[in-house]
Amino acid sequence: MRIDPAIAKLVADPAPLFGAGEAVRGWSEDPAVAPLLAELGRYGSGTALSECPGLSGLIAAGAEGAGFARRAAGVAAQHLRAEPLALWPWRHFSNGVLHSVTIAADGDASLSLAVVDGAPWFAARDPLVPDLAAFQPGTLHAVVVGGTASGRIMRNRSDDPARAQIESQPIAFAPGTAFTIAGEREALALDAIGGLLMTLRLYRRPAGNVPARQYDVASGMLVHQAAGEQSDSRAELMMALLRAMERSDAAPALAALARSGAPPARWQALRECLALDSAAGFAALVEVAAQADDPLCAPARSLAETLAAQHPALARMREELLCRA
Amino acid sequence: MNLPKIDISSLPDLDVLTGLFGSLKHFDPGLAGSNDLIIVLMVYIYDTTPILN
Repeated sequence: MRIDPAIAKLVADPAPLFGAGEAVRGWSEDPAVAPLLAELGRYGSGTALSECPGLSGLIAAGAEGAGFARRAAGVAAQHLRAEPLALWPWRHFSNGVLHSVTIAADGDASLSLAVVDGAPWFAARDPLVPDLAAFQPGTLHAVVVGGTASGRIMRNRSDDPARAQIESQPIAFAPGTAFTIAGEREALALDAIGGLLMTLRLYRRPAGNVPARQYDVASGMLVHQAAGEQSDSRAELMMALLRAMERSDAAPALAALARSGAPPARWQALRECLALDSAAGFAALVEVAAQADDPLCAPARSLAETLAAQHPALARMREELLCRA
Repeated sequence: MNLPKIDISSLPDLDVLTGLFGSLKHFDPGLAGSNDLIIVLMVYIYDTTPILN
């Protein structure tokens, strides 16, 4: 196995790995920064942004955010450039087009710097791909720190999850431009970037478990839906693994997952539970089917009927369960 | 009671399929990053030692 000399050196001296912690600590204790990070903690715990005057000022239109971003970049980006193997305590990401670094995170909120590089962004565009709008729950407040661009804020006016009614509002980005995207109903689209576009972003994860949805802008048709909670997808992968391992002792845990949460995740738990342990899964299915106000009642009832018709043993089991209830 | 073994592929999905967290089609690479955290998956591997008689 090839081990890069720079990584091999860390075995003898791991200090570069942890140097970022020192850099962050020094910055976060700065008297100009510490109150903002305290507000970020409150905002991340659910406090309204209007009750966080420092943060509000930072992402408001104007130059205040730019000054803060420059200082933060001085700490984050410069440190990562000097010590590329440093364990930066928060997320840093690049896909060759977007480069972002989280400079503070607390609870559900995070503050990050993002740069979109116009040339690779333009090169990555596929003119054959239809114009899609991605509505991702969560709230983003951002202010442009540098560069210019043009785009649209798309708003879904429909209450029908199967079909969107999208209105677009053009937006021109220039240093000091502030914008807010309430992700469940609003999405941002970029149309042109002049060189680089750098923003300071305040993001808060959504409180509820609402899926992310993508629609075709022209027709409003739903083209893709994705889990709104990271933990739902994690559970889905774990359940598939447990089924593959035939760990029937996990069936009660799967049945419990089928009882609460987002309907798509619960349905997947029912399927996995039925495949892992048909008795435990079928009992959970009958339980869901019996709840008239459960959004999964109809598909659960239909599946229970089908399985009972296919398997006499399950039909008898259902009778027993219903008698007991 | 002799209960059947059910194949998961025989069980229906809901009308609208839900992809994994962060999965989006043809997503503008310039807009990624606010909500596409990686799925954390922990896999335990049990290594069994053969019993030697």
